[in-house]
Amino acid sequence: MAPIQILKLQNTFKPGGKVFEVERAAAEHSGLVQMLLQDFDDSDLEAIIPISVDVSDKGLAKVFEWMTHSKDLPKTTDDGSVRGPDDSAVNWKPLTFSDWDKKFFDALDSEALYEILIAANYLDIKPLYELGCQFVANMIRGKTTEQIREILNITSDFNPEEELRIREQKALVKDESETAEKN
Amino acid sequence: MRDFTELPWDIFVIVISYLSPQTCVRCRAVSRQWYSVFTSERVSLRLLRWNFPLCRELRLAAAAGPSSLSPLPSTALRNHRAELIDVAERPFNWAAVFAEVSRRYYHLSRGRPRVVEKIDLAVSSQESGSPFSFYGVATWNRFLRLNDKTSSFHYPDPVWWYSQEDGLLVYPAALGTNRGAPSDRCDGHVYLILDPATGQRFPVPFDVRSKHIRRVRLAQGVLIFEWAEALPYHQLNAREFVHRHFVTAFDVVRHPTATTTGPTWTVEFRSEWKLHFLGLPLNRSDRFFSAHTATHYAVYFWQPNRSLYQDDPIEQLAVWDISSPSPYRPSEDPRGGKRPAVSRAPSLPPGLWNGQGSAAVNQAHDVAHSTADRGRPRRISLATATAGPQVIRRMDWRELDFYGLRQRSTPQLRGLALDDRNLYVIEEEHRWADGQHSSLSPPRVHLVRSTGIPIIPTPSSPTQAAYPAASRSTGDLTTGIGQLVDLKAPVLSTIIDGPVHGPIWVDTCGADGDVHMNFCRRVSGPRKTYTSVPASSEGSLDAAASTEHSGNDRLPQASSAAATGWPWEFGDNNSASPFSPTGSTRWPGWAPCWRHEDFPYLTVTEMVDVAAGVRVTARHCFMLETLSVHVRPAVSVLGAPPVASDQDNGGDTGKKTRAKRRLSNEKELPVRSKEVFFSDEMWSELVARGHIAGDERWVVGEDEKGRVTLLRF
Repeated sequence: MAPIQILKLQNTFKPGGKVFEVERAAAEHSGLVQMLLQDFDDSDLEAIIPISVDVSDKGLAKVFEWMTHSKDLPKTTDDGSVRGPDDSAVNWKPLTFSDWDKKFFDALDSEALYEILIAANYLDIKPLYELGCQFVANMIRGKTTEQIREILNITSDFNPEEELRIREQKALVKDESETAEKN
Repeated sequence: MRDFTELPWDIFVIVISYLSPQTCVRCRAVSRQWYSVFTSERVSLRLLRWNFPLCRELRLAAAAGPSSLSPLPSTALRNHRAELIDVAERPFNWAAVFAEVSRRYYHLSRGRPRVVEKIDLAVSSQESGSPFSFYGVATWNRFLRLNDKTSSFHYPDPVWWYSQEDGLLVYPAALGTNRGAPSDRCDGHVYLILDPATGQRFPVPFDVRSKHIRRVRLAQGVLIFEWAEALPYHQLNAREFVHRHFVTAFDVVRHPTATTTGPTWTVEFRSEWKLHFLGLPLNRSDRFFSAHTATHYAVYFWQPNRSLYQDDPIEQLAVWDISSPSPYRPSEDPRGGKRPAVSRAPSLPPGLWNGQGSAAVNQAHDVAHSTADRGRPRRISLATATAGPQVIRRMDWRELDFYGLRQRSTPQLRGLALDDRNLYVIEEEHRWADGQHSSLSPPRVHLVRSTGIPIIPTPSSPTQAAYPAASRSTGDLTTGIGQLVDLKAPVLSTIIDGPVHGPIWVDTCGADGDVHMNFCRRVSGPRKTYTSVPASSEGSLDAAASTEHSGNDRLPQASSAAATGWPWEFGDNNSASPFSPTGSTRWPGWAPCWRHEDFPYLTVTEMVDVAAGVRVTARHCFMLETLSVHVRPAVSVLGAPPVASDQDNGGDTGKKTRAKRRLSNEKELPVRSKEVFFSDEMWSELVARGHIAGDERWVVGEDEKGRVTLLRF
């Protein structure tokens, strides 16, 4: 019997989750799927594989979109080594955002981004997970508080006195780095 | 709507690992939710460990932790312990500490002080009746000369001193300032101790009137004044007068604030002794150099020979055990009659220049002339005999010659240093040295050498330890010290067994200067090891260094560790108190090859906080002067994610570092180990007198106008 090529995954966290069909090569980015493939016969995996993570189907769809697009990239195995498409060892390289990745992440709002992070964490997709964390960090990095609020769509719930007190607390750090950025 | 801070902890932690400390502090102001997350102890402590694993607060907390307090008492200094008790009683607020430490390292890593404080010093005048006179010991007549240019090689001692162990600055406060009312100053207590951490100042109960202060030094909780009487004692020859010289020692004691209501620091008289039995003339040619620890004091004398038939200078070296307090002040007792007991070390030759020998002479004098003492047998108990400062070792020129340390008329001596067993004599010779005392046969380039002589006996014998410290105390002054260690055993051992003899340690950095002109053979290898953790990566460090050396270093290395490491890096492993939470200077047994680490610059002075891995060095090269700061990279855990300290501002740090290192092996330097340079005016603000001190929190120096400059980071 030919090895199974399409995996069916369903999020059972909430009832009525959509069944996603994912190519095997794409799904192998996930450490969770890799383990399932090791532990079960292919015949067992023809049925719908239930997963349970607090993420909407929309978020999961994005994750699978990324996996499908990146199916030819080297995959991280659970022993930490990185394997190419033909299962040969590949030297680990620091992750970089490809143009597609940039577009992919830029199109997300913060909510979707968090969902992707949670799902990637659950499914153990190291590259997506790390790219996502970097992307979130980039959104915050080097920004003023006001900019962070704007980008992440947060409204300040401090009352004026609290705001003033916190501003004083962090005044030296903040002012210095802001002037440094301007220079 | 999910918030960033509601992400699962492991995701959240990875995200913040990419953020710089500054951003993490700024994130506190986004919203209440963010505030509570980013000021939580969990996040703050984790960020602190990632970004600043060597910072002082973490080291203190680690040392004060319940598991590590128990082995501390045997070796830790008393003031450390008091500080650790404070930390244990009142744990740090890690959110505040993280903000403070990131601010500190932000400024430190850019060479920009956060605050510059100026402290006015008392004006010294050597005229009689002056309220304050600092008559510093002259330096050698050596300077550097190359072609037409000259540059200083030695700098005179500052009138102030900073103790890294205690974190205290002692300085003569300007009259009429700081303390306000002039009536305060009528007692002559010009010297103050400043705790820069709290800004508190404490007077030192030392009357400077009618005295010439020769040197002041605070180390390991002991403050020492070397001073001469303003009035000459006797006439040496037609032109010269001899002034009696004394050393007065004070205990500077930190009290745990949690257990006492009084001030944090108190200054208590410990003892006083005669520096030299005849005294010294106040001039530019009689010199002495000294060093001290909490328990010992060493001094080297170099005096011109005033004989018609001898040219070689008179050289002497003496080491005192000063651990035992004594209320006796020889300066107030010129005839020695009030001396509590005459102690004569049976195995020591009763050298005349020894203060106690002088007392013995005085005693004979007393017996001859005073009827009161006659017939009353002086019973000397062991307790009284060993109270007060005791000479444990004296060396005349013969013994110095034996150790290869005799200086003769071309002295190389740079200074003395002590650790808990040895005396180190640090010598230096430079190719370009010129002047009356310069060598007739200069080295090829620059030679620095440290010679260690075992001096202090090991208190190992159980019979010696059997004498409890309390029974020997002469007053309640001992209580503090007596608790610390049984300090008296070495003295007794010296008296009973004679001086310690043992193999000496010699470490030389001769700068064989290969084609790369890397002045120091230790410079080339271990640069790459900055990113490694000293404690755990010794093996890899050696390996890296040996491959580095295999190509260009033909010299057999006596000790691979000795040859490959920065002396101050190895300080972590080899220092006398490895877990010393507040750091210490580097181990003096390493030849100070930092002097020529950046040829052709010569390091004038440096501040090294070994434990924090922070180093500020001042280097000059005839007309060029730089002051740079070096922060050791902050990597704590092997395999930890890369530390994201400067990523936000990574783009502009390049602009901030105005100058680059001039070493040819610049490319070998990891990005994070590059130095940053202070702005140009900082030289005259800080290094005008050639001395800087401090730790990771601040740097202390003196400016051109004679004010102490305190740079806070």
